Amino acid sequence: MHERHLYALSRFFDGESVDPPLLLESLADPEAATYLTEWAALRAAVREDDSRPSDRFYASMAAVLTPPPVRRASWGRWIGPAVAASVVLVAGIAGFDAGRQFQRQHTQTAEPIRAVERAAQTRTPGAEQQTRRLTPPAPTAVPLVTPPQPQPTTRRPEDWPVADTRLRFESWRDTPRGGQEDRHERP
Amino acid sequence: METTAADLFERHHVAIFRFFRRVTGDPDLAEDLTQDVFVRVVKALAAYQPRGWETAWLFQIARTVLVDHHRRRREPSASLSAPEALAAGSPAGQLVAFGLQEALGRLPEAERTVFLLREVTGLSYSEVAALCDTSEDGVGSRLFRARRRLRQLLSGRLSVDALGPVRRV
Repeated sequence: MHERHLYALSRFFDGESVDPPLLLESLADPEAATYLTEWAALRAAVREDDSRPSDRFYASMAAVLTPPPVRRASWGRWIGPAVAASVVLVAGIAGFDAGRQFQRQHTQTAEPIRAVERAAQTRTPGAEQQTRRLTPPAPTAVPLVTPPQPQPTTRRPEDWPVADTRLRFESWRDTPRGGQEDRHERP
Repeated sequence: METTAADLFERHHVAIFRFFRRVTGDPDLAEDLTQDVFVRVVKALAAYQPRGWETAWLFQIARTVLVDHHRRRREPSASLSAPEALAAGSPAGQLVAFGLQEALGRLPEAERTVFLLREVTGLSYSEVAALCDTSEDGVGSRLFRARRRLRQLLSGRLSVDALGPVRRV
């Protein structure tokens, strides 16, 4: 039997959509009836199964499927923290009280402070003891300084320094055109 | 109406158990795997939205459990031994039970899973395709190959005469 026909028959057997002309071709095959019958027998054999899980399975599943126990009322959740907080509070108060009592006992047993009967006087050997009265220093005299006034210049323009033009002239004469037409001596 | 895990268990646990028994060939292992499925159902039920068919959802979990099981064991599933197979089936199917379980054990895992999802649960091609991460054509091809191979493996035993009176399918 052609594989294409078998595939179409398999889909038809499972109730899936099949191209009608192809199904007609497939069903016309002489072996089609044999295949369909055998597949039906196979399906029956697979589905003919009346096995069930054991009692042990149902016992274990009861624990899985039993809903969790109802939770305590909302205030019930606070009982634990409240008790813990109370214990901490009582312990803190007791510790504070014990500390105070301990401090009080230590305060009572300590020696009372006595009045000063004698004071030691020390003197550095060799150092002159300052006995005279200190006088403040005299004010410092500060001289007044004035900046010098600018003096008017007496230099005339004739006395100004003359720029050295020779160097510039010599430089011009060294150019390609320099000195060809316009050569002349510097006066 | 809200679906509870107990309702789902009541409706589907036998089908899931039989699916696992057919796939693994081991009733004890099938019970363990079925229990694993419903443990996961209880956990996932809060997020479950009954938009589709609940059978498809449950068998999706069953398939995940099966894949995890194969990963843990890293070996192909064993087939039923003869006494187990003979004890498991009903009188009408006992004749073919041992041969069928043997033949199913020889199928490639992908073909066996698709074949049993289709035949045991009656899921459509599109639902099986969604469960197995393949296309509808892929499901059709695997089913076709599985049937052809089973016919070869069970040669002569799949006749109606050999099976006796067959229930209406």
